Amino acid sequence: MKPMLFNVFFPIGGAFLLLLFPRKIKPALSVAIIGATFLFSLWSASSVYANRGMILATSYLTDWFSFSFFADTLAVFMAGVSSFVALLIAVYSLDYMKHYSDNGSFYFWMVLFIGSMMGLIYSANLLLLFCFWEVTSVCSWRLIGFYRHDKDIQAADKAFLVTFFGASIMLIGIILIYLKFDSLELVFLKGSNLPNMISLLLLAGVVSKSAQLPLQSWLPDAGVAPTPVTALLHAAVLVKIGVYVFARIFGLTFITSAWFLNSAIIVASLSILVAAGSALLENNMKRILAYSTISQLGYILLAFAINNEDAFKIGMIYILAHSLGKAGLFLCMGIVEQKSGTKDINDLGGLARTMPYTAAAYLLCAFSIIGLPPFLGFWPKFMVVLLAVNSGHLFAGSAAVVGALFTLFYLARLFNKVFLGPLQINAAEDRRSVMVWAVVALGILSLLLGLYFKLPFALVANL
Amino acid sequence: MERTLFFLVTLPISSGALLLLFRAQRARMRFAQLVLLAGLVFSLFVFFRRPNELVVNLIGSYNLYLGINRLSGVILLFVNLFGFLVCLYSRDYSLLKNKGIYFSLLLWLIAFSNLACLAADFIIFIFAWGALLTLLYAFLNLNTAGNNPDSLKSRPSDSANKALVVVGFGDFSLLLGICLYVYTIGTTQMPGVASVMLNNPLNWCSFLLMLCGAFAKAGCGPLHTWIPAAAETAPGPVMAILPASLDKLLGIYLLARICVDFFVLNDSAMAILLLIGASTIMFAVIMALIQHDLRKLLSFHAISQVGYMVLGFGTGVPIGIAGGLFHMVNHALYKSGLFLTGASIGEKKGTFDLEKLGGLATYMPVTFFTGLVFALSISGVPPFNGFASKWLLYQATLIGMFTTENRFLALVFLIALVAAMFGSALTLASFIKFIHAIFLGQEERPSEKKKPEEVSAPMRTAVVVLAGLCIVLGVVPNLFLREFIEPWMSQRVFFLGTWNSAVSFVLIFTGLLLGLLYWASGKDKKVRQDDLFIGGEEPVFGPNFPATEFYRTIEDLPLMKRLYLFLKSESLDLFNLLGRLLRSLAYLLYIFVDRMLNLLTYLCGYLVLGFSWAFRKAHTGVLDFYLVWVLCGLLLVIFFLFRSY
Repeated sequence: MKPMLFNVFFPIGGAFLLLLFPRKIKPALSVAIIGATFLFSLWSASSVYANRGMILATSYLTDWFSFSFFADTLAVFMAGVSSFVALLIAVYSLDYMKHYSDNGSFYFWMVLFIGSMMGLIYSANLLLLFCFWEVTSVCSWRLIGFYRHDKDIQAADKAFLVTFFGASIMLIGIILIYLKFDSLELVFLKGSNLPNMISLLLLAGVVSKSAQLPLQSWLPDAGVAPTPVTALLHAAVLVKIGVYVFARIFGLTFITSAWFLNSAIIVASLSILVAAGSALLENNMKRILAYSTISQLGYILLAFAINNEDAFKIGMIYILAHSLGKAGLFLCMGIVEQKSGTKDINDLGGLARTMPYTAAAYLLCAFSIIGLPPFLGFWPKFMVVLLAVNSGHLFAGSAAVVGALFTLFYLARLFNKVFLGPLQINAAEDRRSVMVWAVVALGILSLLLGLYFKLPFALVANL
Repeated sequence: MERTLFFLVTLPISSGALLLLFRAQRARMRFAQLVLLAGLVFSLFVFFRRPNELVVNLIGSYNLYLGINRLSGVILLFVNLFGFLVCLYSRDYSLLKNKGIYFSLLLWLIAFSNLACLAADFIIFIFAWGALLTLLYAFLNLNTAGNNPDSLKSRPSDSANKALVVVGFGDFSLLLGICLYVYTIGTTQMPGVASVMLNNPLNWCSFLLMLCGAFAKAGCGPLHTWIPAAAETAPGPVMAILPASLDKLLGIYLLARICVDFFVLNDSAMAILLLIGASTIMFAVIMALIQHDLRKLLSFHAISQVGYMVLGFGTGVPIGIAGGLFHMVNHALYKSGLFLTGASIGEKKGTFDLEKLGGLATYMPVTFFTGLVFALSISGVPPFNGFASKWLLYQATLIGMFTTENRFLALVFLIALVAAMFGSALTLASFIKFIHAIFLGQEERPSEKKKPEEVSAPMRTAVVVLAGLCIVLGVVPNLFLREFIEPWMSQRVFFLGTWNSAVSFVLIFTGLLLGLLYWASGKDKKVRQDDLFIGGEEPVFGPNFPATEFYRTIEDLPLMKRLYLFLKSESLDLFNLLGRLLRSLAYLLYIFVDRMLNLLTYLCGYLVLGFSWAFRKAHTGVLDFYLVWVLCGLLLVIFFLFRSY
């Protein structure tokens, strides 16, 4: 059996198996399942890098649907990044979620999400991809409303409905692809010219899932979810689905028109600016980071929309940098929220004295997200601007730089308000906690990969 | 041999990480010093042997190049020299709280500064450049010891934040400027010969954005505001290594590359540079005059002196460019020396307030002597190095003024010359206050039991080396110009005037010696003390006239009072302006785009609910209702079928 199939079906099966086990061992077991998923991702990656090509596993059912999976550099890279960050977040959850009585369902949905994410990544059939896409939406819906208060359920419904709206339009696009090309197999569709209308329909799905303008409003509201959910789904993994599918469909499969790609670049540029500006005005720390996610996803979308090989690789590195950095930031804020009991930055201050490790980890991750060297975030951000300008998109390049300046401002503001100044709330110290080590690990990784930049560039060298 | 280039970066980076594992403080310091000494040796080797370029592929057609040219070799040499000297000084500097991390940061700082010098392409250059900002932020967050009461006035994090924002703005501007420039020339490799003319908006944007990057790093107006804020909270050695030396070296290095290697300057560009240089000189020196805090005084002079360098490049003539570069090196020498002198005084007296200091010449003779050399150098007094470079700059403005055919530019040259000379006079006035208030006169509280004593030998050694270099470069400026500056410019720099520094030095030195001999002969040692007589007025002060008092009168002059009120209000502070600008833009984007789209999302939801409500009302389960619908449908069908008739 091919490693990628383990990679997909082990966590999906594991999620249902979790239901059979007693509540006490569910957290540890889910970490083990996600850890194994990460190992399977490495196994898949080693197979792909060794063979320097694609590995297929196909089981045709009808001419429009099949259980076909493939693994190429983009897929294994995405799977490796997603499962690694998920593993760290799962470890963090051990500590964070232990106070909640109903954490059994939390772990079920989380592991199921990882499984469906893996399924989506490796899918070689558009309809199969769409199925996994919707499973991730359902997982996200249940996890956002995890606390089951009215406002949580409202936010969950909003997220589900907006992403479902986008997905429905995308489904029309998928149907039109079938009608035009008589196949939904990505391998057969490779190199086909996609009409603008279908491209735009597919883009609606991408925009809704990756929370880009004009369907971005669900993501800031989704901050009501428990922090590991926000970090995993709404910063590191789920929101990347949109841009991943964009890369898969428009970068590696179909040939699209310059007009469509320019439209995507405009969407990305506006998302970068609008979300970054909004982040500067928010006072809820999770909403700030959610807006930041929208803005950073704009950069990734911009990289893929430039649509040349270098930009494509840079988009992949951006996914890695953002997943590490933004997950770290959300988890830092989770620690602050749990210890202080508030998300409003006006009620916080001076926490660097009681939480020095969290503050240091925040800074490391924030520098990476801002795009300051020598952190990993610098490389893709600079290269995106360079490639955008070099391909003649001067407005997009300028918007990216202004967005970076906004990022510097709002992340510095968040740090100042939460960690500096006089101590407002006497929050507990942050030492010797699994949560703290998880965020410190994310921060240090962002730094080390920035210094040893050859590694991420080598990972994407052969598409 | 190319590996040496690599070592200059990797050795300090890895050593800095390794240092964190050391437990013993002394071992840490010695190891750091050893590594920096090795760096200095490597840089000498690189300077003289100039190894070939190292090329590494990054992605696709984008390569990274490490190499050395005649100018970057000079910068590299001085970066490593300053690193070593400041490390030597910092060993015994007790006001530094986090010495553990300090030495690692110092090593990383040198590593990335080396990388910026060795970068032969824009990608690696901006990487090193940005990393220096991260390190500046870390350095400025270091706490000085709590026993220093002045350090409590403002928090280190505030100044670090300001530096992050202002220099960050410069760095992002530079990043965009570089991208636009690469778009124009089609390669990321730094050109050695300028080919881009300032003849279209794109090139102008690129030029101005790159200037912002250089100005923010060097601390030139209007991107200077982070330096006075940093000076108040940062430890002395940090100020000596960053704003005083490394940032100046690198900022002006970039400016030199922009003005000579990247762009062909036209009259407008020259006028812009000259006006920025002249206004920076004047504004900063006027602010420096009224400072009572030693660190702030020095920081304003650090800004003012950048004006001279910018002015040099603005002249566009070889002698001006050489003067700008020479002034950069000179400034780095005396300004880091001055910050270290300030740090020594803070170390021994626990205060930086000029009003509380005085009479230290007796207790700290070496610090006094070196402080005097630095003060005279910065004031442009012959035969010190500051004069030699200012002399070149004055000549350059004169040449520019007489050779240009553009009348407006000639006027700008004249303004620049006046500003440069007047600024130099005001600098001297300011440093008379510095010398008098700290070393001469009497201190405010002479009754202290414990008299201050000279700082430790390594600290003294560092400042003595810097003072020695100030004298040497002042006495033999030609040698320095021939060996270090001219090879890059590939043309000779001629002095127009008849100034012969070596002869002047001998004459001045002989004069001083004769004066000393006369004083030693004892004829003038009888001192008569008498009551003060100030034109019949009642004396306001006692015999110990505080140096700072004289300068208060300047602050109270009618026009100056308004000017100072305006300058102190910080209404032109880029930090505040940028904050307001981005906030206003953010409001527009948030309210008119984000919230509107959010509203639209909810409207869609309400629309669906409205339809649902209407259909629910239509399906009540009462038969009569359905009959009405059927009849309506029938009427509609009839209408569509027979509408053509």
